[in-house]
Amino acid sequence: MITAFVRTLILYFLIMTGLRLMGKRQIGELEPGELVLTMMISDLATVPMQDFGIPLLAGVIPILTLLALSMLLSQLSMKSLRFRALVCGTPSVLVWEGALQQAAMRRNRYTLDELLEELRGQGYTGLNDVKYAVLENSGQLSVFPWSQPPTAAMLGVEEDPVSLPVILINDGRVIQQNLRACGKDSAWLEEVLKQEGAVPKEIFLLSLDGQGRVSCVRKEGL
Amino acid sequence: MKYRIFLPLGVLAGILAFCLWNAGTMEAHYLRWQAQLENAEALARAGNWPAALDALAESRQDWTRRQTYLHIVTGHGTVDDAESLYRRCLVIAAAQEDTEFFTELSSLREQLRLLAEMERLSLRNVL
Repeated sequence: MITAFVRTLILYFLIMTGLRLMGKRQIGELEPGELVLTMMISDLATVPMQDFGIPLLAGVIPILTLLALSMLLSQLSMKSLRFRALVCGTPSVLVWEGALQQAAMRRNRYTLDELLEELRGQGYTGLNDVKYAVLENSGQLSVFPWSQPPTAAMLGVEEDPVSLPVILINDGRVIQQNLRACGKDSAWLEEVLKQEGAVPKEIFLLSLDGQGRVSCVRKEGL
Repeated sequence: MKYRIFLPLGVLAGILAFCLWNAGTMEAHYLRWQAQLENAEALARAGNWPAALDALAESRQDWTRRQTYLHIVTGHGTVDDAESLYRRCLVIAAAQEDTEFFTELSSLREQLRLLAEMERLSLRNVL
């Protein structure tokens, strides 16, 4: 068992180091630690599941070890910026003020073709449109163009503030908690339903937004 | 905030402690079984087969009592091999076939050593 524990520790750090050395482009959506954890846990979990000659503990102990290690590393990352940079890496600027940062591209093994492909994927025809491009820790490229879309103030129109609608009736069920959170009561809801000419059971979705607008979708087939 | 760091540290420390305890327990069991088997061997060499058989049966009982623990912490194949060697030794001891008995007993002792060795913290095992 101690062999499994020590091997798990060694393999975890080995794969983490390996992935960090590989560069961000290989990692994709996941952070390095998450990727290591996902791959190792999925693999470890299947071994005792398939082979009954192996005790369950031989799978459980490495998985617990990995989870505890991952939790510890993420907590330490929250406490220390330096540690976070070591574990998760730091974003790399690939385009700065329209200029390609070739050293950063080499460090991340990010080719020009990959950069152009990513820019095209985000709707930019070429480098001339891009002011900044940042390779994030997740491996995604964040692109900032030279010109930003015009704001409501620039266009001289009144801003329509965005607010998240709160669901008050979900598939016929009144969510009292949300009703109270909006500062409304059952009497108000009854009034709204009266206007709609329906009872809660007949409503599929009823929501209220920050501007006091009520949106109602009735159930079909009633 | 602190408990979030101490929790995983506690889990890791707990696992490490369990692993070390397990290695120590396996070693203690192995040393006891070895002593029991050495005693049975000495009795057989002295020609006292009934006493050798009793000693071996006692050792097997002790071994059987640890079966659940052994199956939880170690590979089932290794435990099952040792179990069948115990049975063979008992049959041969009852038949008083000395040459075969000593060979089988030696295999059994080696199998038990292997059980303890698998759980030991050593560079050889880790690498």
